[in-house]
Amino acid sequence: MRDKGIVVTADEDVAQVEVQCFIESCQNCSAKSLCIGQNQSKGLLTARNTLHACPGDEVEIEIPDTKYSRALILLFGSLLVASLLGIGLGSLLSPLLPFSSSVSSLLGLLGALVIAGIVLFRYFKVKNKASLYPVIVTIMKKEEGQR
Amino acid sequence: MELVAIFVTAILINNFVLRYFLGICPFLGVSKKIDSAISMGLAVTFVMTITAAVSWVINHWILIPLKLDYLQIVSFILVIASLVQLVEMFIRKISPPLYEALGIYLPLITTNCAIFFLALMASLRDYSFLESVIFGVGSGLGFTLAIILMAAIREQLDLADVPEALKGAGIALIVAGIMALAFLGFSGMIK
Repeated sequence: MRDKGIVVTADEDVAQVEVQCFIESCQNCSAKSLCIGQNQSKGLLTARNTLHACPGDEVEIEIPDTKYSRALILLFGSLLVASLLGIGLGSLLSPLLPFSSSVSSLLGLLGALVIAGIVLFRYFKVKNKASLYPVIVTIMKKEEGQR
Repeated sequence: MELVAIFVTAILINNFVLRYFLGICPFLGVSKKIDSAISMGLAVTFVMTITAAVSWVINHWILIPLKLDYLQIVSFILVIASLVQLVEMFIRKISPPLYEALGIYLPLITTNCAIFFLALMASLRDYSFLESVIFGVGSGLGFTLAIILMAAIREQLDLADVPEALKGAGIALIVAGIMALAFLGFSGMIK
């Protein structure tokens, strides 16, 4: 998905882009404050600034929405599988442990969630840098003072 | 056998969306693309599973022994909101761009009445811990099945010649109604 916006701040390879359409599509939504903040009038996105756009430039950004969906499927899918494995293992091992079945299942669930959390944290640490940030693909209009 | 019955019933017969009409907001709002429907379904299933486990613990280890059953509704709301907040904090920590992209997506889960219904239903039916979790997983997968089917139909509908007046929410509600009728066919499958 592509979107247009204005660069607000730019440091080396990362820029904050004020995205216009967030507001247009959210104008009548009663949950707007949850997304973009009560007093904030425009949506801000952090984008990779490979074209070295400067503050004030009007840019087009590519939002990797398919990658977001896949990342979410991976994230919640693995958390779900881990929690089910944890509960199952806890329940199976309960005769060997000095706890009741429900306590060992709960401990299994907590353990599995912690392990899955650590694995996901390490995985996304690499993934973030690689592909999940939106990218500035075109500088449509340079800020007047920079020409 | 009892666990299998609870699982299958929750997915097909007493499907939260198509039988009880719960969770309609994300069902209609996030069912335009199959990819996003799958991720929403998995997110809801995960939150439902954890909610079933945590609400069972709170109900059986705190509320019932202290005779505070009347606080069930408040406690369950608190459990669901806290869980979603925790998931949100976790996502913000592991992947800031994903967190930014999610927007209203996660709060939609908190306001999903299906999750609250699950916690109340598990308590009313006096399920054991394992039964409660299986009920949570089954209900979540039932929600996922319904939302994926809906997304698949809506993707096809984009190519169909839908009358102008029915485009958007109109045709989506008609499709949901027909799907609910189709799912009625499963009733009586397990006695």
